[in-house]
Amino acid sequence: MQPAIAMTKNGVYTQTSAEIDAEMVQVQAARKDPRQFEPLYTRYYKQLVTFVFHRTGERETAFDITAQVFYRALEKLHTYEARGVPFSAWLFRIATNELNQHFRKTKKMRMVSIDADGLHSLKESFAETDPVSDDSRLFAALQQLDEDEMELVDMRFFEQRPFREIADIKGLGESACKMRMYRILEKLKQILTTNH
Amino acid sequence: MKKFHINTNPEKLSDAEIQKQMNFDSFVQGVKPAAGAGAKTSLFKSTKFYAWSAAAVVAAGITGFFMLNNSPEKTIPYVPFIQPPVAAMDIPDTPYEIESAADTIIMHTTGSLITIPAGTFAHADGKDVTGKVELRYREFHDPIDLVMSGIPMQYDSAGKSWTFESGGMFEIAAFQDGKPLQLKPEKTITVNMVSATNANNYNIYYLDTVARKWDYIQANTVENGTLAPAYTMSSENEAEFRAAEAADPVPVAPARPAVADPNAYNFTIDYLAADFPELEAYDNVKFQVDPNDKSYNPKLANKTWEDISIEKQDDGIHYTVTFRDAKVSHRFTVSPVVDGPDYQQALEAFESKNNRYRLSLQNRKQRRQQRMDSLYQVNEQYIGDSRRSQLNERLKTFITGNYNETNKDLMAFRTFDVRRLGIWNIDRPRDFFDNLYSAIKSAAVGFFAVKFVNKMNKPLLFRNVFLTKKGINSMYPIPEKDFGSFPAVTEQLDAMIGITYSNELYYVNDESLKQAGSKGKQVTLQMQQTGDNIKTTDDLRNLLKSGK
Repeated sequence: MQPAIAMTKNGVYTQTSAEIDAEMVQVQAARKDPRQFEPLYTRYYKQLVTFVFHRTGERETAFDITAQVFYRALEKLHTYEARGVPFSAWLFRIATNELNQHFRKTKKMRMVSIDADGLHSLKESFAETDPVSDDSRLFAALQQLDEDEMELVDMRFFEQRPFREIADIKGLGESACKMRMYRILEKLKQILTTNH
Repeated sequence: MKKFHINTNPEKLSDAEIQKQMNFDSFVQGVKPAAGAGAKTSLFKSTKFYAWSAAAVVAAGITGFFMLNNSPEKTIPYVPFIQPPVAAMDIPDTPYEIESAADTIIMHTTGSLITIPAGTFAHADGKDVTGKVELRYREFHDPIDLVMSGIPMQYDSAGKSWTFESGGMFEIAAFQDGKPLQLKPEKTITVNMVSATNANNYNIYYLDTVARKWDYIQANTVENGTLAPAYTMSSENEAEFRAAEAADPVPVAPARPAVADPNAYNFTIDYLAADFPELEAYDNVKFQVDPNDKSYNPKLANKTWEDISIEKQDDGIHYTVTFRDAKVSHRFTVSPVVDGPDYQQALEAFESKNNRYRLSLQNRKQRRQQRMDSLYQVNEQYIGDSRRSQLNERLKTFITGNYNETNKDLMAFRTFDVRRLGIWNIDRPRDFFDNLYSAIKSAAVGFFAVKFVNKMNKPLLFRNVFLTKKGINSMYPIPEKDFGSFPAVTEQLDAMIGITYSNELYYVNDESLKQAGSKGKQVTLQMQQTGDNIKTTDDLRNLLKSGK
């Protein structure tokens, strides 16, 4: 049986149609009365602030941007359509836009937070062909990715999100998402080989 | 060219930080209501919101600072490990003011005894405490207490996870001028906690909220002196009880009248009404011969007999009538009846007498309970004569209040040598919940995905559900992430309590829960909302007991 719920490092990612329907009921209620937005706010606050903090590394900025994300979500709630995708994916998309705007305005560099698990996970994907013994070479290779590519690597390896969730956030099909990830990894391998 | 700031030692936001900033009320206060349902115009002005947002963050920070540093709540350490699912329904504690220089015995409302020697407390810097001390104490006794307290009941030992069944739990803390105190290393507070079970196979544990685990302290047994009956019974009291019982006979239920069958034989007999109180409902009672009794001849009823006796049969409906003289005797099975015209009157009389009978029976039940209660006296080892009667009353309140199904014979005092302030527990691991835990973790048994709906069949989103099982004093929390893989054991469950993201309480305790596991891969459970009237754990306990 397909697992109904897949866990990510950062919380729960819902996938059942029943749950998506239930969230839609809450969305509809919140459209009429913003107070009814509370269950969605409470449910996703931690996931969102963690997502933003992971990319900014600044506490106050993370809380500010998260507040702005929820504001944007309420503002645009009338445009939201579930289309079989959890509400969280829509929130993460808004958060990505807000983050991009933040980095543009402040001219600050996007942070890529890599802990030991994430690093190990990424290295494992090269293990068969090109074991990466030197972390600095890998970090240098990562610098050559474009922002969109880095976002995918970050979500997949450093936040350990399932492909289904990444696909929903990026608005892609799951197989397209996997293919894109495959190409990014090929690109990284090539960079690592060239710079060896 | 460097495009990203790669941080290989990332910090993490703590739950405490996140909780402090997550304030929906503040958030939504900055939101203007929509012009109408389904309004498609923008609800807010972005720049205003940014200003508000920044202010809200600052305000939340200030509020958080004051909450932690200046309000009365600052005395209770922030422990995210323990998160009551509905803050307003957390188990309240009871404050006791004591003099630090004096030996003190506190009798808690449940009957538990807290013995505090003089000079027990020290400040955080180790200096002795003088003057008044505020002791705060609360107890947890049943699954509702456990659920609403948010105290975890999982215990890891030797690589295996267990779920505790509790024999009672308490939290004890001490403060002076709002600042938390600690125990001096050489001092011990003794807590004789009342427990609703006297089972000898429990252990004492202390909850280490920093390491987030239960620490095993020692076995809680009769043999090591930490477990003893709360009540003892004297033989004199028992004799008194039996005498009082004999002097207070059980009332007799009136018999429901029946209409005479025109095709059956019947006859009348003069009898003493006091001998047959159940027949008081009848005027003009007749005894109708049982149609199966073929030995009856109507001529027998016209004869004058030396003796006629009536005897109630064991079924409580039929009687045996015996006609007797010097030579012969005849026995018939009969039942009391009235003729049609007298029936309505007899029925009204029956209803009235039956109501009085029920009341009388209830009163006698109460008198019997009081007589039984008087059999028990608090175990003398715990408290001197001067306070024993007071302790007796407290214990009776404990039993007849929320725990009225408890037998006094099972009541026990469990003794804790408290060397650290905090949460102490009498526990034992139970197979049922252990198996449930293992099943969820290992995916080794049959599972089903559960969807929760309300009475209108609208989907419900729970952040947690708690399972309880009759006969086991424990609860098992199942987080939202596991709703897709419920182990198929729900037929063994007693109740399920669900808590939504907006802290609404729902429950199910009927047959649908018991059948859920056998309905296939996807099960829909209809839950009932507890409603606005349920404000305390007692309200919730009574609601679940009522079975409504």
